[in-house]
Amino acid sequence: MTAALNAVTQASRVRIGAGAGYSGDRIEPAVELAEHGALDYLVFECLAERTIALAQQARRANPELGYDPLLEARMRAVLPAAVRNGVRIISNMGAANPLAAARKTASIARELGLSAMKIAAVSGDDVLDVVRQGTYRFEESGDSVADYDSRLVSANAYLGAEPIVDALEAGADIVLTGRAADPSLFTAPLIHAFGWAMDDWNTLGQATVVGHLLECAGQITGGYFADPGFKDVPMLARLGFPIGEVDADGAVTITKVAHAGGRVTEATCKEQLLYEIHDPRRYLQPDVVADFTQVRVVEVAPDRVRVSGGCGTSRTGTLKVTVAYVDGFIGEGQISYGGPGAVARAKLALEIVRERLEITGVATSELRFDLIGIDSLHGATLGERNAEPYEVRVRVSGRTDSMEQAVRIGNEVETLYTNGPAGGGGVTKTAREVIAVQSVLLPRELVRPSFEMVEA
Amino acid sequence: MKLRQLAHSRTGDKGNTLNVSVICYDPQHYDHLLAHVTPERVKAHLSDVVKGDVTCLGARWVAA
Repeated sequence: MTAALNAVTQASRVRIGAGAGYSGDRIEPAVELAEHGALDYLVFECLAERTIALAQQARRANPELGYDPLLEARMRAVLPAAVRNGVRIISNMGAANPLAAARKTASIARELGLSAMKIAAVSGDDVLDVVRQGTYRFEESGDSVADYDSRLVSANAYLGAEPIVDALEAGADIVLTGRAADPSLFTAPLIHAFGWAMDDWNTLGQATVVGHLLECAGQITGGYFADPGFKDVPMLARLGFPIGEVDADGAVTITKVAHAGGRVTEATCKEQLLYEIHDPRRYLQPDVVADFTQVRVVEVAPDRVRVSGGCGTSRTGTLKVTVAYVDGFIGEGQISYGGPGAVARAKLALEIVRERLEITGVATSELRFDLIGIDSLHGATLGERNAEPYEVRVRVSGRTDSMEQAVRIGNEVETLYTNGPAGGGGVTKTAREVIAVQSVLLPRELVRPSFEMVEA
Repeated sequence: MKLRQLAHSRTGDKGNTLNVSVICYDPQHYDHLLAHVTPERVKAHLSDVVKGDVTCLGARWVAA
């Protein structure tokens, strides 16, 4: 079926696959979906909160870059099967430069001998100038954004489904966006295929459930789930990514390619349904305020789980904007101790580094002294309940105002080799610039999404 | 008995806010968990890392 015909013929069921749950995700499961998933759409969600700030820095260094570093590898791997099977692709791999991503994808398509492809680049999410010109405060700290002006790296609004729907209606085979709400990458093709109204709040609420379930890819097929003896998952090294079979009312059956690894059960679906949802009564999205409290999850067959009952109310007048800024530097050093007395030597090592940082005058604003294996995750109260481990890893990390100071933290761990407790080994040290993010709510009318079509 | 024998869980975060789902394997255990997995006990258990408040959004949902 051609794209144009698809636009005027309303589907009765749509099959959407999730080809990535984050920027660095495995590529083979997406190829498997394109080849064997009988998909209508394949969606790649690749843009974490801070990723777009790093992409913006890459674009400033080279105006032809700023899109996802794995865009080329993914497109080369997936395009042949996707084109052969009529699977349309939607992704936020455009990151800070969707137009360059679309041009790059077009050139890859031509190289692969695929012609007459239409690739849409969605823009309008970059609102750094708008935020700079206004008087906004961060939602988290209450600070005035103007006070951060010299440190701002990027400001991107979470776009909704509309520009993606527009691109699909214009016949795009591939739609590449920058910042868009993750669920909207999935709701857009459903809105396009089923012809839902943009004020059909209950249906958009259920569509948000579909997008939320699928957006982390392998997290609903058994990834981030396995717990041996309690929650066993087969073949995680060949984990299959999910497929959503969506009906015209938005109800979805979550499944996977039959021979792929992993499992889809009520338990995997419930965990993902609640993942990162702070208030299931009001899950704020650009297109709807979704309500997950009436959702029902039923396993209808092995590896087939039906999820329905999501609803919603009217969208708000604002869009969330993620603002990224330079927030100092972090230096870190690690070293291991093993065998009898390992913990005592590791604690001595921490004391030595603490004193060295004072003696040598390294200025830090936050400093951590961790024993990995004992107290690095949940603190000493819980960590010291257990028997002494055979080995332990020391980690010292701290926030500084300069790279030079950050480097010195790792150096003081490294000098434990010849100056510290017996038997230290395996030092690693890092120092890096920190990009932090906070949010601003921007009046919706100040954000003007659009798309540009590139032809291969 | 350990909580993990009655329920499974997934954690996630946005900014400085962490959320932890507690999902019972058997819906009949829901009230028991709601009575025992209280915000106070969660905060006390994770006292070294929780700086703010713990709230419980318990509701009998998803337990089809």
